[in-house]
Amino acid sequence: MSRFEPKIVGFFCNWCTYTAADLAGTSRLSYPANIKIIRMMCSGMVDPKYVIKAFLNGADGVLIGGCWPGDCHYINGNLKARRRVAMLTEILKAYGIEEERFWLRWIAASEGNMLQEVVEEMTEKLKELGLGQLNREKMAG
Amino acid sequence: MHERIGFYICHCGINISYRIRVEEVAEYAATLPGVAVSRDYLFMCSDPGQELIENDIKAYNLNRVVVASCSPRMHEKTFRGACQRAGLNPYNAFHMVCVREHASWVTENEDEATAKAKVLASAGIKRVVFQDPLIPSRFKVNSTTLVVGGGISGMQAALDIGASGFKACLVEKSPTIGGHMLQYDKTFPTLDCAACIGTPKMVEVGQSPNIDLLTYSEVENVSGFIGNFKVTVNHKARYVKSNCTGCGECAKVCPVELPNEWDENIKMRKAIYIPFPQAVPVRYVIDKRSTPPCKLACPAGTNVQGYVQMVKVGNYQQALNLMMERLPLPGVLGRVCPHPCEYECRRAQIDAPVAIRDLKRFAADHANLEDVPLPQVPEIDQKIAVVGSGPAGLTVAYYLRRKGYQVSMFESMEKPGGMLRSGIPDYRLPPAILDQEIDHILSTGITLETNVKFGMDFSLKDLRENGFQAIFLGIGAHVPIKLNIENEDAEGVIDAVPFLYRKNMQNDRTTGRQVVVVGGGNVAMDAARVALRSGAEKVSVVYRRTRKEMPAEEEEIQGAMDEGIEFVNLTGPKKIVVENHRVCGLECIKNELGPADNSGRRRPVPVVGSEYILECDMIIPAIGQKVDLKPILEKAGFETTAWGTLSVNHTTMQTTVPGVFAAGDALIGPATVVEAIAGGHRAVTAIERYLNHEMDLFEQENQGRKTAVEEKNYVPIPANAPRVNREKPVFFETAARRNSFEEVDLGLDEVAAQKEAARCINCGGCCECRLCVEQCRAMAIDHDDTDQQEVIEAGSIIVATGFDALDPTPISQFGYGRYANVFTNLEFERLSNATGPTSGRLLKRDQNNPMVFTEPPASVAILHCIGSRDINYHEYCSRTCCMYALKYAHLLKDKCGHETEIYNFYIDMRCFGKGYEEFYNRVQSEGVHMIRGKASQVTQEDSGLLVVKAEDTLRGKIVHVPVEMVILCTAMEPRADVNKIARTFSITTDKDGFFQEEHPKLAPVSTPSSGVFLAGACQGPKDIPDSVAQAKGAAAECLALSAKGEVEVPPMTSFIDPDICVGCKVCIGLCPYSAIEFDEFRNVSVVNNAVCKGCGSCAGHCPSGAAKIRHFTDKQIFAEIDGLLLN
Amino acid sequence: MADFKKLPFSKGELNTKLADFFKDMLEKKTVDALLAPMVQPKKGVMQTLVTHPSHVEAIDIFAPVVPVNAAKLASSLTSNPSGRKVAMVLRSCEIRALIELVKLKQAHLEDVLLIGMDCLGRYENQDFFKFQEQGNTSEDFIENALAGNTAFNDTDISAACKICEFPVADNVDLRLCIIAAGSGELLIESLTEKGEKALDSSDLSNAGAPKERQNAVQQLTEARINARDLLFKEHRETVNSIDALENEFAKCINCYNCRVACPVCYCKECVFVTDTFRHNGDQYMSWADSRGTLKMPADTIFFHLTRMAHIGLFCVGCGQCSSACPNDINLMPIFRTIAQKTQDRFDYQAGRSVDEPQPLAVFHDDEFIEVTGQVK
Repeated sequence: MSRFEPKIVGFFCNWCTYTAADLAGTSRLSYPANIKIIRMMCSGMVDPKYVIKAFLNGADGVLIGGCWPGDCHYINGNLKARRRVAMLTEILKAYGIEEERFWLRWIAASEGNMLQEVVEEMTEKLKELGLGQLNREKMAG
Repeated sequence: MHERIGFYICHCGINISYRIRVEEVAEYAATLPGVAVSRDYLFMCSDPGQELIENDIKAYNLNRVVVASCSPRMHEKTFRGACQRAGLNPYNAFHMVCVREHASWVTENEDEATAKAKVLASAGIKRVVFQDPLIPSRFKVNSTTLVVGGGISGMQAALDIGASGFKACLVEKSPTIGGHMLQYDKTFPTLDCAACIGTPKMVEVGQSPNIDLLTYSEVENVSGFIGNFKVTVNHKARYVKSNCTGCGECAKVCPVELPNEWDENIKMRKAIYIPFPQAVPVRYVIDKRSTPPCKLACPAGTNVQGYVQMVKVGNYQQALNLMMERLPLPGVLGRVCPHPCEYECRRAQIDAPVAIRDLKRFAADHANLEDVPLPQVPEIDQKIAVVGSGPAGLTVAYYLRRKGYQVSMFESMEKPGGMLRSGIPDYRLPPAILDQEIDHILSTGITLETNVKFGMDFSLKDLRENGFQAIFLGIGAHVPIKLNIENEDAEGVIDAVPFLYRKNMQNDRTTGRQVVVVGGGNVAMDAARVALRSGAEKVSVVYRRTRKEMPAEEEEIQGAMDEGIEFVNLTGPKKIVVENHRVCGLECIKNELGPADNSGRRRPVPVVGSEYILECDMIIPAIGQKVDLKPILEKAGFETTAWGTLSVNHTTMQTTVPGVFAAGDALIGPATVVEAIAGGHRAVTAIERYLNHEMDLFEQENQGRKTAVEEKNYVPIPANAPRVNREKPVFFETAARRNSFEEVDLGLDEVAAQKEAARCINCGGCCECRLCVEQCRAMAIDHDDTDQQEVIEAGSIIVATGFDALDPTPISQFGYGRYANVFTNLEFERLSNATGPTSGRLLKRDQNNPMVFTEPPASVAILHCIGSRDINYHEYCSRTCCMYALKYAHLLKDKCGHETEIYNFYIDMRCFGKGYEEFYNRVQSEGVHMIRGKASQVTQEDSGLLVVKAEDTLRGKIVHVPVEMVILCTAMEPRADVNKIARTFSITTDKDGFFQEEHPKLAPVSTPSSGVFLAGACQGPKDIPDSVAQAKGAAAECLALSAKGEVEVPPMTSFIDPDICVGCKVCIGLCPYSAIEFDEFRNVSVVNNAVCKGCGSCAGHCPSGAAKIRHFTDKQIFAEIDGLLLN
Repeated sequence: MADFKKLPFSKGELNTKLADFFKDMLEKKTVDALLAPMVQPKKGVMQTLVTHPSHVEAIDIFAPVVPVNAAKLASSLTSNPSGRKVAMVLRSCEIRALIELVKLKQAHLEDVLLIGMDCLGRYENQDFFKFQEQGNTSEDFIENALAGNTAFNDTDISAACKICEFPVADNVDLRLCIIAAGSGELLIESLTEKGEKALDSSDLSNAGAPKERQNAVQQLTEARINARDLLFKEHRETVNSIDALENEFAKCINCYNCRVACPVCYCKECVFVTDTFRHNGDQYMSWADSRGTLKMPADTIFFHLTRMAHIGLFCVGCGQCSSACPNDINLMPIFRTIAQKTQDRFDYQAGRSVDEPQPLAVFHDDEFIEVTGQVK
């Protein structure tokens, strides 16, 4: 059977992480195609519903990218995101969606290389973990 | 479904198509629901590309458009435009998918890239269906532009804006505009002098009616949005008002010299100064730092730095005037003060503390009390009684009198002075000095009644009846502590306090033949030395510990020793041996030092059987005094403490009897004169407030008081400052001291005093001597000036905060800071500049004193790329060094003579600008040595000659070049506070720490924060021409805004559905811009669109989804997620 | 502050005595109204708002039933305040929910005299009717329950009550104590100034603090905590995956009764009944396409997971969700286990104090560093 390719949904803040992704592009830093990016204006805009939906739709991992604390284009959106992630992690964990599948990372506009590293690291991690639950069900059914 | 979607994927030349099979993606998209037309095209962003979309919209009657190409941050606007032209609402109709930056450029495998593109495409196609029509809101643009930074870029931008007739507001943090360019001497490649082309711009900025110039100011906060910024600017206290004429008379008299930052600290300036002669504005500024440690350490808060500086410049009268503002008895303190100030003196970090007390005494002895100016105040007809004329009493009396109150003093002894007179022997404090200073105090109109004892001759009641509205008790009190050994009541045993009293007050000279003083404190020393002077043949001091532990002042102990007094240490008194009630000896016991006691000193332990008898006929116990006032005080209705001292409220100094205040020993037990004075000052404040019914002020102050200690911004300790010995006073020769009560310490002579005063390093910057105030005809100086906040409204902002030059000290291999003749490029610029330390002559530094310049160098090495193109410091090239290095070479040849040998150590020569290459050739033709290879090390030979080591990569060998001077071409780096600035203007920095432009090629002066633009070296290393060009670009951006007068802000703001909102107000607390208000009537939260920036903090939380963020609605995001995962 | 007064009653008189006490309160205008459980004409006991003293007779505070979590009623009464003083007799779960609602501006306590009662549990509504029909009284229940026997016939108190750590109500002005109050006696404890005033105006005589009470309460609490932990353990072992969760909710019909019954589901309109979740046909189709199958009604798990995210931090464990489910889905353990995890993460406890800000309503610079594990 073919190598398992995890599906990662990225919710990236427009000012830092999304820009970092653009920078990674212009600097031709290649990374796994597993991640698909959704553009958000701020990590503080990411409603827990979106993450839940992504997992229910069969995502193997979700990566929220925001500005470093203190650098948020909207002053402190990222700090609110951090608390929401902490809360949501507890729920997902309870149903076997491990912490390693749901990441929040600070990636600044200038950190294209860090974006590359994070995506590589997460893809690897997810390959170790294997299929996310809903895909497992899907394969079964 | 009624959506008719057009999908377009761009080849971007080959940028996308080389990795993504665009045709395949287009075919795939065509199969997705709602897609009416699907195409791929070479350049979607090109005019034909856009026309393609516009035509399709009409031809296929499309209502949605998805373009898959580069990042929306690049061309979203472009395609929205196309849709709009074709009559669609762009927010409703258009969505952009990024398949270049996020797919083709970052994916190696073609299949994966193509697959990813398909997924992204389907997500976009699903999303666009749910987009709503939005109308951007329009706001008026405030036509003022705020320019931050007064360097060449900031000046140019401000001038261009001013020229257009719009207003610019230029904020500069230093006292003058000009920036780095004005520090330079010549400018490459044309060699016209920086000042010649720079100062006219400065003047123009200063004079332009359209430019509001705010120097010595900093931006603290920016709120609002493009077209409507509100900027909070902090005007730092300048202490010189705008009516300053720049005449400079103030600087002439200013005693404080500090290194001039403008001159890279290689030239001195005064504490009141302008950075350089052509400064704009020509308005002086006072460099005032934190309160100096000496002043803080002085219990009385005396302006120590002030009078020390006055001594330095020989203005002894002003020195005395300053002292008299806090010390009523300068001559006395100059002799007996234990000088806590000296223990805090930062000069000690170089060699030894400044001899502050000696300087105080010197000033007091060399100026006239009569000439001390008294404040011109109206007489106040309120009577105050001061009981006790010790230091506390005298302080209260004198300073209340200075305020105009009617003061009467009451003293129990026949002469005023308290312990000063009765306790301190004449050889330490000549009565003449004391009389003189007390007389002066009384001469200000204070009545004194002596020989009246409080509690016996008169009472509180009497005072009240005599119309005294406030009463101060400074009644001191000392009762000797007994030795508690056998025969202590024998004849010939007399305690130190009464012993000294008799000598000082009653002139009684009787003493024993062999005197033993017990104790090791100052009083013991006094007693011993007085006994000696009164004719005792042998005087011994018996002390239980060793000299190290003695509490007495070092100089006192030394004095006693010099005078031949015997010290019997590690010895304790056991009993007094008597012969018919007369002392004939003291039985002592030897001690050894045990473990430390709670005073931290090692406890003496008696050695059993070591008793012996010390022969003597007089014993003076001097083991301390205690306070005992209980009897009198309680009779008078006061509460006392467990220690028998008077109990008061220590902030208000008020006793338990209203209107009666107290200070001095009566409160705190035996203490120093200066502590008594400090207490007196507190009492003065309290009494004045009491009489004005303002006692509640103390409360308020307590609440207002901050606990946080602000960190001190003292003048830094000068690096490698030469060590200078502390001056010692002359002493009355010891032989003559026996039988003489002449003063022992004769003080400093004038030369010594001024030399000593010059050792002060002026921690506080300005010493507040206020000579400048008298000097200033314009009355422009205000020492009480404070920081002022101002809110400025502007429509656009230009950030032109410039760069810092790298400090090469940490790159130790080049010896900067260690070797006198290793210069930085900026130091060299100042050296070469006519207004610099050498008035433009290129001279070497003196090996021993870096502030002294000697002769021109015969040979110079110029080291390129110091901290640039170096992965250990900055990877980037600073772009200017090659050229100014060539400039230096030329200047050296020009100024020091053609024979001067110049060596350039370079990696590559980068002479890319107009006329640069030509200049390079010219300089080479002048016989400058060009060595291709970065210098690796600079060493110094004993002769002072510097040797530069490098690899000449052209000849492939290591070279050692001896030179007399080395110039380091240091990197341009981001400002130290770049992150703070970035946050203030919510812009970002690049990997090197410079500000990030919106696009490296197409938007070099704009930033992600609309309305905020960049100019000059804050965006990256630049030379002057580039900086000016960029400044003009930034100005143009701002003028475009101002000229249009109106700005469109993206409609992606938040919106709260009043039908769903339940009014929990959580979003209000989460909104970083307070953009959400509460409608009490409808009981729902409401977004203020003008303030909302669309961050989605509210929408991200609102559980009912009442708070939505336009263009990022749940439905849209859900659709995108579906598209990404379900296919 | 804690003062006790005693309300003695001989068998069968508890309700009349309580009625007298509250009647007196209304007559003396200590309060203008009383919200308390009252016997209904035909059958059942419901919270009832009484403004005229003569109607207090029907009072039956200790009836082992809670038709609705009265926090919701308190909210209706006070979110737009009438300005009149109301005494409310509530159970601990109702009070804790009420405190969360106060933080959410859905209720105000200014005009409320909050009266808590020792709670030994409630029966499900249907069971209670049987209990009543068979002629059992609240006193019987108290007697048995205090003796450790809450069951009657084949039914017992609700699962939520069995594992409730809060038999005694906190954050109240007055407290009706039956645990270790001594037989034939009910103690009324005042815990606030408000409470003290109200109590002093009554004619009840003082009583000393009951010695046994603290122990008794502690024992009861411990027993329940043990039961709780046991249940949680089992539950976590079985319902530990999305699949398992889907099985739990297999019977869910999206009626949203659980959220209607939930006292802390405070939204006017649940997001799941707004446009956001009104999908059109081709969307359903595309979902079906993606997996070849789609259970309808859709979005059930999505709804419940989202509800966990929304109220997990506020859940007080009253169990009304389970009671409300027409298809007997046992929601209580699901939500309580989640609530424990999320609340612990923020070291928060729903209903503990009005002054504790809700975790997602605030944030700080240096916290939860472990979430990203990144430090600059």
